[in-house]
Amino acid sequence: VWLAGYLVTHFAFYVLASRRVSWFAGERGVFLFHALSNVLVTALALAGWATGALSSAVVAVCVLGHGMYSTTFLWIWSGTQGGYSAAILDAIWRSSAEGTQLDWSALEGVGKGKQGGRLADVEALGLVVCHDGRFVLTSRGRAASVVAELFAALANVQLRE
Amino acid sequence: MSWSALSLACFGAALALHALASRFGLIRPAIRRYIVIFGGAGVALLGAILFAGLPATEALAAVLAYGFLVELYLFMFTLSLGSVSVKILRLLRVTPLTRDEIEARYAPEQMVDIRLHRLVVSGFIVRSDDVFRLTRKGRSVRFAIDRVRGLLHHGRPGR
Repeated sequence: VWLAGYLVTHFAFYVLASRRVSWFAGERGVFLFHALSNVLVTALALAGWATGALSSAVVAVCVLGHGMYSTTFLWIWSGTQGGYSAAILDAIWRSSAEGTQLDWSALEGVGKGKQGGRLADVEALGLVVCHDGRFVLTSRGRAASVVAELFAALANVQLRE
Repeated sequence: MSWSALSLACFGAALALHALASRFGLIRPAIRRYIVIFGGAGVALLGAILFAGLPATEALAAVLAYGFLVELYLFMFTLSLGSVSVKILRLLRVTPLTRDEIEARYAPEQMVDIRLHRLVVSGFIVRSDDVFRLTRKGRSVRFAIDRVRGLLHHGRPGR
């Protein structure tokens, strides 16, 4: 019950804060807001377990409950903020409502922006590096690509999909 | 059996079933496959919890552990399916590429086509006489996305 109350407060605080402080509305802001809260709840739960006040099952409920809430929040947040499919649904709805043709160039523009932006992002994260005009994986990038390949293999996601 | 072992066993079984179903293309589209298999395993977990007679807190911990693992897998699964960053990493794992070669692999018009195809298969849009329209399901999802954007203070993409 305490955890549920805390999570509702956390969500309400974010909704209000993101309207007033632009830092909360950005990627870094929302990630840090959730990461710090997870650390806080985990630390408090472990302290309770160490003193014998909480059982291991209660600690698990606290940590996993917050983990589920944060994962769901970040998933919905990123999907509604910059999702390609959401942009396409919007464009089709708009063209139907206004009785105009679907604006293909705008949709392709979203794709082009994502592609250029993502290459810059993975470079900035130190996952890839450009040598003599060719991009190669760094050691960190190779580790990330192994994880990506593992999940793609599990779900049978081909590179061309 | 402890609550954590029950959760892990159910998740492991669902993961193996999902991998097999994906490999052989059973249950389509992909999102329905995911819901059927992981939802089914979730129901099995509830049955096992009742059968084992776990105390309420441990039962809740088992359900949350399973839910968390399933959600993490969904996150990674959709990332491998749709993320441009992940696709770039997978491409470069095969061979080093120039910027032009990377951009040529995922031309914007091709990316739009792939997304449109997925939205048609999932029943969010229909195509008739070369015109795309939202289905009732598509309109509901778009409406929900719009409300969430308002709540989370997002703008609309592509505007």
